[in-house]
Amino acid sequence: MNQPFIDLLTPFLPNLGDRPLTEDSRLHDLGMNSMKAIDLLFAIEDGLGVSLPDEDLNDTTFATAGSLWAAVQRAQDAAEGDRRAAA
Amino acid sequence: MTATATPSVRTGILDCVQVNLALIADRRNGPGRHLALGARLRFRPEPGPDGLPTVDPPPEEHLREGATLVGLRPDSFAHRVPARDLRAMAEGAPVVYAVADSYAMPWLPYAGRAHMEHGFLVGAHRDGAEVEDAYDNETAWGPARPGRWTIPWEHMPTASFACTLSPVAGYRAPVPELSLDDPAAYVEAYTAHPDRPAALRRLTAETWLLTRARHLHAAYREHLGERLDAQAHLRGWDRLTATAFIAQRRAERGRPVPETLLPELASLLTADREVFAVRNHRP
Repeated sequence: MNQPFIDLLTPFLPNLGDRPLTEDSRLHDLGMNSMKAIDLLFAIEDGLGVSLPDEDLNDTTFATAGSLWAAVQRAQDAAEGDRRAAA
Repeated sequence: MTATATPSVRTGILDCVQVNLALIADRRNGPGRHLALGARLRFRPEPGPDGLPTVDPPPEEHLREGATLVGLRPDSFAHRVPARDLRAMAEGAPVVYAVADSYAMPWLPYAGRAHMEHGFLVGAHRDGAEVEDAYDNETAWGPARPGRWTIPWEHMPTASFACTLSPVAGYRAPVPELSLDDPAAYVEAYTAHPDRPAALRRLTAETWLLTRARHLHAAYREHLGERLDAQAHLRGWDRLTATAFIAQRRAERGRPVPETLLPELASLLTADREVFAVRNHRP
């Protein structure tokens, strides 16, 4: 996980405290709920410039920091592929 | 704000008209009585705002039907009740049930932000109105949680209507029943509406209501002892509510909305008939 992603995610986890965020960090246990997850989705779209595809809008994606990071990376890779194809 | 304590009431599956009726139902008649609010699973859209069909019934009709289902009768019914008259009602009764515009309710995240007819209970406190509201929802402006607040009477909204509620004799638990229209016209109306942000804003509210109603109906059937295999179906409704909200916010930003939203709505509405089919029920 890169620092921009961690910086974006941390404010949505009120129970994180001073602990480090790892890929295994369970977002619900750290204070994520359904409404915060939607707000986070839009923070990702606005802050990282990627839209998660419909099939990734589910509880599995938002289960851990690592699963969410994986979805973001896939979306970033897909967007890069689209840009190269259009060029 | 202080927490309101009627732990038997399942606030997360009730809408804003039902939830405070539920408090009275369980306090007067015992834990679980409120679940009878879910006896009738209905999908009967009527013309609504923005030229779109709605499943949201008029609040007074909704309150009256709900009262019947839980064995209560509205008394001392009044319309357009300003705060001074609401105070007079509250000083003459243990509690008053009222509906007003959420925009004017300082105890809710909707205050100053969103207009919707919203139910609450009010009593007379020495320092003002004692408002009790068990509404339980994650709103776009933060959580609304069950609680009690003391509000100066001059800050109370004018109620669209207000009443007291009395128990009726000879109550019998209602038999579960379904009244489900074909969903095609409803889904088509939301698919074809030219103002996409408006359609998706309405659909967010509609799916929220539809989802809570299905959870409530399932809870009532299980309360009566039926083993209902509805959990996967209900999770589908939960996901749809989230997808509708995401679609609304994406449309407001001019971004593509999830393509699965309306087909999934059609699928879930169709599946309701099978999942909730009433089979050999005994009350």
